[in-house]
Amino acid sequence: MKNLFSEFTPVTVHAHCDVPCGIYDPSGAVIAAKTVARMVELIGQIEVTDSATRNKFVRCVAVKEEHAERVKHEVQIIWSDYFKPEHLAKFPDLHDQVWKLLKLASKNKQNVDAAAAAELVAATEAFAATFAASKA
Amino acid sequence: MEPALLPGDRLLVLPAGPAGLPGLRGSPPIGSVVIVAREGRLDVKRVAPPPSGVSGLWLLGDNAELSRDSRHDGALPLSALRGRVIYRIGPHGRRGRVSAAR
Repeated sequence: MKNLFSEFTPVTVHAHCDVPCGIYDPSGAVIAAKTVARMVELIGQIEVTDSATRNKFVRCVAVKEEHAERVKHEVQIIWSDYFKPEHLAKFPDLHDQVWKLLKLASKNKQNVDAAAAAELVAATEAFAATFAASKA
Repeated sequence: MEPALLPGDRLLVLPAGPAGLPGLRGSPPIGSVVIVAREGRLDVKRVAPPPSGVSGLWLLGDNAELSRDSRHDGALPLSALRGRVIYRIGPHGRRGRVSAAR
């Protein structure tokens, strides 16, 4: 028997795709956008006087950039993977909406700008509203 | 395919399909567990009765919640069939026939 089995080469077969499919949620993008806005607020408040305050300042900048990048990532996944051509017929400005949102996220990554941060939160919430409407 | 199959199970498969064993060239019976080639990899699924008007292999995973199968991608042609699972040869405690019904 042992020799018989050694004659076969085992191959791997799969029962599912790698991750559960069809799970999309824009709330991650909204939370990330709000985090960016909060970090912009904190960065404006921190007075750098010693290494502890400098550390806090640098951390806030790092978190702001990380979450601006997260907004882009989360929105891009929903845009490319969730939205289908039939959604586009219903929301013809979807591509424009996403394009502007991604540019806004990049602007927030580069700058410390409270107005741009507020715009990013609003744009991300509008994107979440489009997502919700597409499911209705 | 849980609970019939678990990750790590070793399966004995009879080669089936157009180039397979003579007795296994037609459609596999409803309820049998088969191996199919799909999108460049091998999947294991159970054969289900196709909806009316549909021909080909209608395959469903036993674990409906997680399975990606004919509910999403439709039927597969018989030419995608690679084998029929008949026996679980390991791991040790799980040896046994893979039954042709859930």
